[in-house]
Amino acid sequence: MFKLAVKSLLARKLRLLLMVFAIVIGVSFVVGSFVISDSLRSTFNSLATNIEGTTDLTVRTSQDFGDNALRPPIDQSNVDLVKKLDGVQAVEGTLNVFSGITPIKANGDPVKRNGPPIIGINTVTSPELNQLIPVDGRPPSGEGEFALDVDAAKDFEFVVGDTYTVLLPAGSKQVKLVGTFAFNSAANDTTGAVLVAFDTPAAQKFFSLEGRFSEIAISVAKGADLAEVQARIAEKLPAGAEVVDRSVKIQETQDDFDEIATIFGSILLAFAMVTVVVSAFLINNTFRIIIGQRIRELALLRALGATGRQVTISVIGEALVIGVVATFIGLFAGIGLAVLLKVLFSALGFSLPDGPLEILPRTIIAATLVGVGVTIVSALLPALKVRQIPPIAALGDDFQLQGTGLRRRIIVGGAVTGIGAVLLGLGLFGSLDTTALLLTLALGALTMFVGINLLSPVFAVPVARGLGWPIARFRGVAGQLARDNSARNPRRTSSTAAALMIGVALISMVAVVGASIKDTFTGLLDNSVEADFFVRPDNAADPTAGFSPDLTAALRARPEIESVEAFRFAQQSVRVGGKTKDLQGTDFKNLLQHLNPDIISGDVPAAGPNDVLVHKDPAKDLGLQVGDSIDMLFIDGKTETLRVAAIYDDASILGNWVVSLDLWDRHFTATVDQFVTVRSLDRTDPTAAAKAVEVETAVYASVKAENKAEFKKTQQRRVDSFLAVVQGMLILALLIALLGIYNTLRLSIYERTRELGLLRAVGMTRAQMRVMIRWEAAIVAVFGAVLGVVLGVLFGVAAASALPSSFIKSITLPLGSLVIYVLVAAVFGLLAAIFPARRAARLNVLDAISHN
Amino acid sequence: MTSIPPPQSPTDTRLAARAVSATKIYGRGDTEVRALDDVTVGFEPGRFAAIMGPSGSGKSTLMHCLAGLDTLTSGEVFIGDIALSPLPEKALTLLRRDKVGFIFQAFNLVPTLNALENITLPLALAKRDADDAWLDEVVTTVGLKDRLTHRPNELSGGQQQRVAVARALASRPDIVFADEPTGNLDSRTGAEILSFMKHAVRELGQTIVMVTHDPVAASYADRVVFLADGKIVDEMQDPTADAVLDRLKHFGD
Ligand SMILES: Nc1ncnc2c1ncn2[C@@H]1O[C@H](COP(=O)(O)OP(=O)(O)O)[C@@H](O)[C@H]1O
Ligand SMILES: [Mg+2]
Repeated sequence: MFKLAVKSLLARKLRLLLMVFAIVIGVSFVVGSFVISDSLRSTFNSLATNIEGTTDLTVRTSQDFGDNALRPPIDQSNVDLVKKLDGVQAVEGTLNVFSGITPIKANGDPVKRNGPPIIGINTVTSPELNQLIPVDGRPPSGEGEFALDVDAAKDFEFVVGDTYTVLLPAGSKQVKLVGTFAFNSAANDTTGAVLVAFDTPAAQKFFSLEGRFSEIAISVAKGADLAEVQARIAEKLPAGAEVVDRSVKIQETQDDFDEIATIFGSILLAFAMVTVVVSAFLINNTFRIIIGQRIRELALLRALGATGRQVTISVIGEALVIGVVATFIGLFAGIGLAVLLKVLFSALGFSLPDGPLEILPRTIIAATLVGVGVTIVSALLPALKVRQIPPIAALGDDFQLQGTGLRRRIIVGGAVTGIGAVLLGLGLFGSLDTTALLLTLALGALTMFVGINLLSPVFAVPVARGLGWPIARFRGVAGQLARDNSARNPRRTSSTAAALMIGVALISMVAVVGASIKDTFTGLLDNSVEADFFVRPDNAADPTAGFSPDLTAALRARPEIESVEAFRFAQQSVRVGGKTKDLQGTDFKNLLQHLNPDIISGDVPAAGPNDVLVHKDPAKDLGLQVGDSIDMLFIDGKTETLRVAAIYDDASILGNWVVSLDLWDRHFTATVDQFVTVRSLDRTDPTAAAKAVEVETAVYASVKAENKAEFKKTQQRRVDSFLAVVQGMLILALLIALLGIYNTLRLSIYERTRELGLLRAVGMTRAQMRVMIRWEAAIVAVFGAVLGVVLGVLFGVAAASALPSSFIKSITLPLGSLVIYVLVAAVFGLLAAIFPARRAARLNVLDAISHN
Repeated sequence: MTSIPPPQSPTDTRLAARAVSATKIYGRGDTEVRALDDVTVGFEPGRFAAIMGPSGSGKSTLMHCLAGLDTLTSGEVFIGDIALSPLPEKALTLLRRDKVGFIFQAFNLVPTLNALENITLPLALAKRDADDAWLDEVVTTVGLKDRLTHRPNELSGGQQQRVAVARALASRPDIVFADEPTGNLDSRTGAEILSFMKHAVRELGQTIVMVTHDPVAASYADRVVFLADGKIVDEMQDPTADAVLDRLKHFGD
């Protein structure tokens, strides 16, 4: 039986190729996403070890929660404290500042990388702890000099000896580039980050960290016992400081990197899964058609004595061969894809570190499960149906495999769709953790796709006829035949359309969510923003990016400007009621003149420095009323008891917790402003204020100032470019669907050879035949797209209502885009039909008539 | 072998269709088959002609070449006064659509179209309106009036062939070619179809050329042309089944 399966496959090479191709795409994506995230992780891991250099112990402030980047600096008096201890070889205070630092290029543009940050550091003198290897020039000394890492200097064309402007937390400075260096090794292990170095006193001053360091690095003397030295240091440290060894630091860095690699890999994997599911539909459809065409051959086998089981096994055998071959190819294709993706990302400016490709056994197992598993599952039902074929069918003319009855189809399809909907509902409105949530959603969507696919033959005929009506009306008898052909095999039409449906559904869902987010934001700007101008760092990708408060002060000093409101925020930086929360800081006095967060109760302008503004949701959860007290634990380990001054409704800009900047400065080190709104003195004509804003921000090349309309547009564009990336990846699913349409058409044309010959014999021209085939494909494609849009809108509305109201207040249907998707699907259908149509038109009439 | 000259000169342009020195060779060298070997024959308008001969004698090949479905190796075929060999593919298609009707042995109908749509298919392809009176006459003649909205799978084999006959006649072609139109039917149904065809020639003035190997079918025709090994070997006017059978028995003598 197995030999038979292989023979039968080889007899149909093109079909085999198409199926293999569909699976290869899915498998290669799975492999590619695993390989790239594993490689990233392993590269990062070795890097995490490397960049610790020779530092044995690190003294720093202790921090119970929150991101490492938010860790408060440590007082420099601790350096001397440690220095005197036994067993300590060298001690250096180090600075790593992640925000507010931007060197300006010779042409006036700010230095900017997509992703990796710009980090301000100090130079250290002790050879044991120095990680900067001079490349050109010399180390900086004094407030007039700086150095850059060698890659940044090269990429942004900085010349040693020239003077540049560098924007710093303490303001903008003119400094001379006196040298370049490689970090940690000759390879310059910055993972793409830009390093800007000053000598220690200048760095402390420029970074607004006088008398403080980010950490204190310690090298232990040869022969000294590390644990003993650590204990000795710990004993001497003041409260709120800690000493950790190398392994702790390495682990922390690895965890941070791991998070990035995991997110990256998961996103890729999600897209991979989409392509796998679409491929499964394609394979299933192809198997079903092929078996339909081979009924006579299979019946002959039965007549010659093969049992139903043997015939079924031979079909599954075919699937197995296809799956194995495709997995094998997909494995290599996936590795190629990983390489390609890396190149692509660095071309886009997201540099990923170099390193060997990691191909773990897990990757190969996953590839096999997907490749072989999906193929066999897809072939299973058609293979089981084969048992129905009676030996007598070998003789008869028109044996058709029994499709599922209408009633049963409605019941089963409806039930499956229902289960999918329940799963989706559970995911969207239940409270699951992230992994379970994503799994539930994915499973729910998949189940719904299968359910709709089961149901859709029930309505495929009327819908296809309806969609085909204009074509039948305006493209003559060829159009009419196209419509009839698209409706003649509802099962097949549905399955072919299903592959397209999935891609279109996901794209439509993203479009609905995106449009709703955009509209929410636009509405917000129109209704609740009172300010005239918005000043923000250019680098929107970095949530910690900011600029010197000098700019805020300069704006405030302009007579054309009525008032200026500065905002700062820090993710996961406080604990309230035992949970870690994001925090915003601003001034209460003028806040309502800039923003209108829909105050429910309380008085914002009268709020004092130790007051807090709370969004209604957490207020409700914690049972807070205006005037109540609440304890807030800050990242520096100190707790403040705050009075609730007001409760508000709109969290879209303010978030859930807002404190005064006075309180902020007491607990956070990042002294940069992250967002500033400006109100014109002249309320009717903001031209003068616009000029003032322009003049003041001109000095800050990395700062962007926008009026309301521009700000609105920028925010919309941000959503749009995110949508474009997601939809771009989903296009792949559409391409596979295209392949599915192509495949089905090819097979259908083969089946109908004699009919096509007859049409040609009685006078159908080649052009008319092409029209017929093309429009058949277009109708099927549009059927799939319409189903997809309907499902996508459902998914989108569900997802939008599950999102918090700070993202989505009201749901917007992007009707224009949805119509475009359907039209694009029609074009896709027409494209997919190009070759099958040409093939049909070229059929030799006589051969076709005598074909059987 | 005797060769009886055709009753009218094959160069006569009043003929509905004719072949002049038509030769068709399949394959090359050892496998070369002369399916048609210098055949010259003409078919008068308004008559019912049958082409007979043993299996493999070249009947279908002759018909296909006459109808513009296949091309000759050498020689020429004409529909009316149009020579087919210089025509490009598209012109041939249009010629088939407008001037030729077809009835095949089986699979004559498009399964997605109903009987009426099948009948008017060549007209629809040409975007020509049906001549309603004529259509009505054809449909009545073949007895399909109450079956017009039925799909092929709702019709019996005989009914399907009647639809095929009606289709072949509907566009008033200059000539209708039928390749074993009754080959798949039982003799009673076959007789019905043949009567319709005969009727179409007698009463409606159509021209029909029919390939058959059945002497009874041939007896419906006005004239029988006998083919053997790709050559015209004989012909007979107003044939009877017995005469044809008798003639066939002496084939290869
Ligand atoms: N496409 C073809 N290729 C090769 N030989 C062919 C082809 N079609 C027909 N023949 C040969 O040409 C001869 C005549 O065939 P055909 O016209 O079909 O005969 P008939 O219809 O009288 O049975 C036969 O020997 C047949 O084998
Ligand atoms: Mg024949």
